[in-house]
Amino acid sequence: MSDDLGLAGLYATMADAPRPAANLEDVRGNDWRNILVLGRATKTGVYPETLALVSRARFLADELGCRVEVLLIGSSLDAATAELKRYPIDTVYRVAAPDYAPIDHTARILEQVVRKRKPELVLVFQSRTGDAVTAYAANRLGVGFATGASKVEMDTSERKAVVTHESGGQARFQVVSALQVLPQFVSVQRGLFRAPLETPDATVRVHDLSVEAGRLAPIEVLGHKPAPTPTLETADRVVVAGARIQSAAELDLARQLAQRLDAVFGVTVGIVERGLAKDEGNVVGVHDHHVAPRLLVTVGVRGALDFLEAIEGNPLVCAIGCEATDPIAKRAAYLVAGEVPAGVASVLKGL
Amino acid sequence: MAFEFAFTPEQRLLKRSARQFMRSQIEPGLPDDDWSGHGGDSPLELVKRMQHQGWFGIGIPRALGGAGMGEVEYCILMEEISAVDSSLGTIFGAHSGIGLMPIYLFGNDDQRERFVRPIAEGRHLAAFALTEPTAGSDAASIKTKAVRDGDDWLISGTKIWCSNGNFADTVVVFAVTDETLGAHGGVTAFIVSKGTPGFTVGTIEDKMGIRQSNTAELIFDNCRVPKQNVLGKVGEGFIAALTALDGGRVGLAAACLGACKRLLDDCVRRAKDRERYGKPLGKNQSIQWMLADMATDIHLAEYAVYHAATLTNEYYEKIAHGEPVPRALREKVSRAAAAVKIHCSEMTGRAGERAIQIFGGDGLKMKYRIDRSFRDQVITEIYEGTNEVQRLIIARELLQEGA
Amino acid sequence: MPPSGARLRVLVPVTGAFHGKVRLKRNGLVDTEGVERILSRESAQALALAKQLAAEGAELVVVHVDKGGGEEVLREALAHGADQGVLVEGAEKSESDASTRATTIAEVYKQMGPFDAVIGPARSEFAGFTGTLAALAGQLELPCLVGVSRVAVDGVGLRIAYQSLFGDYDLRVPRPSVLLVGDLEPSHPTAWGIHDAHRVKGILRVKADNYTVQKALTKRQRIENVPQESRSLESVDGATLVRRLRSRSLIAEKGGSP
Ligand SMILES: Cc1cc2nc3c(=O)[nH]c(=O)nc-3n(C[C@H](O)[C@H](O)[C@H](O)COP(=O)(O)OP(=O)(O)OC[C@H]3O[C@@H](n4cnc5c(N)ncnc54)[C@H](O)[C@@H]3O)c2cc1C
Repeated sequence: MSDDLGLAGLYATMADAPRPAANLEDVRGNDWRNILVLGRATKTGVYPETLALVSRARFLADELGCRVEVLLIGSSLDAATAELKRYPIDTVYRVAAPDYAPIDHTARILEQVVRKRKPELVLVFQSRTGDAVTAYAANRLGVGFATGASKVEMDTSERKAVVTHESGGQARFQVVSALQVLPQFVSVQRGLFRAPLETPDATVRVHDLSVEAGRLAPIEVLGHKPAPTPTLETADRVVVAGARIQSAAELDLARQLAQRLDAVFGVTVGIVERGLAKDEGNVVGVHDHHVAPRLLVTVGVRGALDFLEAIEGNPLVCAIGCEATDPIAKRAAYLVAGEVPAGVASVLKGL
Repeated sequence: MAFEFAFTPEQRLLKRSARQFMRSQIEPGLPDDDWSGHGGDSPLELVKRMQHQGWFGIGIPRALGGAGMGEVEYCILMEEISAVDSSLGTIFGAHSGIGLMPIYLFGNDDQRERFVRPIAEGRHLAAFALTEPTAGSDAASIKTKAVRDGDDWLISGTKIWCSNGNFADTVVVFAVTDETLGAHGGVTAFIVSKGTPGFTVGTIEDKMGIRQSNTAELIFDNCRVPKQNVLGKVGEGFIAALTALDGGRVGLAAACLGACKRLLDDCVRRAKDRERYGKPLGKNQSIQWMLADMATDIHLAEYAVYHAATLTNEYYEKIAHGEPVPRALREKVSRAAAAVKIHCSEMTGRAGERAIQIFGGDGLKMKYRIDRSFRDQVITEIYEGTNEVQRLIIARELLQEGA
Repeated sequence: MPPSGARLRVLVPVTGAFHGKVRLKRNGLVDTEGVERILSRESAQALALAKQLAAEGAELVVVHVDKGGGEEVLREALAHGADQGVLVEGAEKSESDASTRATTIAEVYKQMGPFDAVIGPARSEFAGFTGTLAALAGQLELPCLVGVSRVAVDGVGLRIAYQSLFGDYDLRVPRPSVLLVGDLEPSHPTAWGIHDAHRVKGILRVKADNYTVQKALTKRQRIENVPQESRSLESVDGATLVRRLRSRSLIAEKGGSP
């Protein structure tokens, strides 16, 4: 086994509690129960990952027969709460905090809520921030954590959580933790969730908490500008058009698809060489731009090495308009085989 | 006993970090089109960045501002630089191998302090001016003269084909100081700084290859140089030139090795990516043979180059520390340098032809840079002593009496 | 906090990465035999950030918890310009346990401190180091920021540029803080640095056993290797693809923004 798997915590004891949250109700008894999801608010709602995580939590909670609670920390929580109310959640705890709140601040809030509400499983979606909050809070509590889980399942007969952890496609581990004794913290890879389950008749209780701001005071904001518009290199979603495209009209379809998916559009070296697309500074290739999205949709791309080696990270690849024997198919999770126009049109129709 | 031949951890790190730096920081700054513009405009901004990496004084001791390494490390850098661009390799080689090295090896403490330190610290660039209109292969017949004038020397004559000539801060210039004595005894090396009155740059050559390296004519018209700038002893300049050229040739071989490895990488990728007759090119045996031949050449070259570099390192360390150099070692170095220079330049020529063949029509397009490698390779069989002259060196030793 | 006027000190924990192809053994374990250990790219990014403070005179101390091949990893970090290296040896017990590793680094922090900042990689090759350094911040009760791309001394604090999901912030934070690096061009070692790292600079070797707090292991948790699942390719039509992507929250719901 190699190092730095992002797993920790084989300890029996829990660290002593510091100051408790002011108006949060203690869970009675010694059992740790329920699943707590750390939600993340955007300006207009919550991150889709939060919804998917809530749905996964519901599924697991139903197996265990326990509650799903969400802790929402952020600056504009009303829109987020409104969105969460459509989902099968038992309780939402809200704590106001500025958008720039550092890891320790968020983690301390989480720590206090965990001490009070005693969840047996804490789920966070993975990001640099998510991982850090998970580790910080778990360590404050002296309990275990696993970052970057690709699957979270339950062994209901023994009430154990089975967390699968894949590291860059190189190794695969499972962390099996007994629940009910102490909480287990897990950050879950994005893009690996099940469908959010919207429930029209959900009854969600909402509690506003005032938790001490901790270390926030000495931090001072000297400047702020909104996140820059994504580029090929930084975008979460990328659509790339390749040399199987036969005409300008087909290329235009691929461009439309990118627009509809709110993705950044790129082309391969192959299609530029065929003269169908111009190099407008958006070529994806070893010697051009590299991409590291969560979702990569290829249109008419066969999968030359020059292109495959320019893909970084571990995106979900959807190949449209190629054959199952093409090299791209080895990297893809989904394949819409056949001609480009029919493939793209069917996806556009689905949208 | 095993025959150990492996890089040290330090050398491995140098190689890996040089590769990373060249490919991430330098390569993106190079133009796709090396053809338009004058073939002598060097990307000096990129060169500056390479100087700041401490590479341009790689073999100079730490105490003199250098990186404290040696010839093996010099070859490692040559390989990685030339794998990205042969013009940059030429700039680096003309500077380190033949420009800087003679000053360090034959200079006194004062000269090392005045000239070597600023070079090793990455502030100055160097050049080597031997060739003249009437003296190329037969360098011994140079005509540039230096005459004594009080405490100074006055240099007059024209040097051609001087790499880095247009921008070098420090040039090692070879001139006849005693016509009666011939090359050995009659030629002296001088260190001349840019801007010295009487020293001007003439024509800049426009070339078919290594177009981003600068090759200049240097004109000396009663150029006054103080006696403190005489490199080594008066009359021993030719030894300095030959000694520097030995190391230079090994470096050049390493440059070819780097360029050739890059060609092979490009060809392998192409053979996997490109489909004809419904299958990748690499499925054809004729293509496989070309690739295998290139790989075989490279395999042999790699051992030979680093063996030659190890010998040269031993040779140079003895000279630098004023220790006697056994004749056998000097001859071994000369022969090894000649051999790797011939083998590596010619294998890269063969690889270039094969690469164009594998790339088909695209091989002629500038975008793939195969054409550039092809054009850049041509000079490697000529400068630092033509391959014919290298064969002469080897043959002479084979046939000499008592051999 | 050091007395005013004293040289700023920064602790930089670094991780290793495998250089070259890592194969999987039949039992699913990583086969690392003969694979070179090098400094991870993320650690080179952290060093690039730490060097911004070094340019203001800070002393950089790199620490690496060794699992084999560690000396080369640490020397590489020194080659980037760090002043001192600490190699924690015999840390096999903390293998795969970020908390124990954090405890080990926390001990180095306490014994070799005081430090004005801890600057480290946000990720390791197996994505776990965020955990280690955030856990370290948790243990030391220090402020912790992730995604930092610029840092400078600002009075008694530090001024940092930091990227979050809500945009780019310019913040003043207290000293000491734990700063995990954001997207930043990694630092490149110079030839001078490589020479000094191998031939001049010394490495302080400490035994992990002296440091690591021995905590009782329980049967509460176990870690097992499981075989790789073969990646399945699903042939779908357009509508199914859209449903699949929506279910994975990779694209927007109808009419919504993703
Ligand atoms: C781009 C470039 C950069 C250069 N940089 C430098 C530099 O930095 N400093 C410097 O001093 N010089 C430099 N040179 C000069 C270079 O070293 C000479 O061009 C080289 O030594 C050959 O000399 P020549 O061109 O006069 O050819 P010639 O000597 O005229 O030779 C012509 C041909 O005859 C062959 N030949 C000559 N004599 C014999 C013989 N006895 N037996 C068999 N064949 C023979 C040669 O091999 C060659 O094929 C550079 C040259 C070029 C093109």
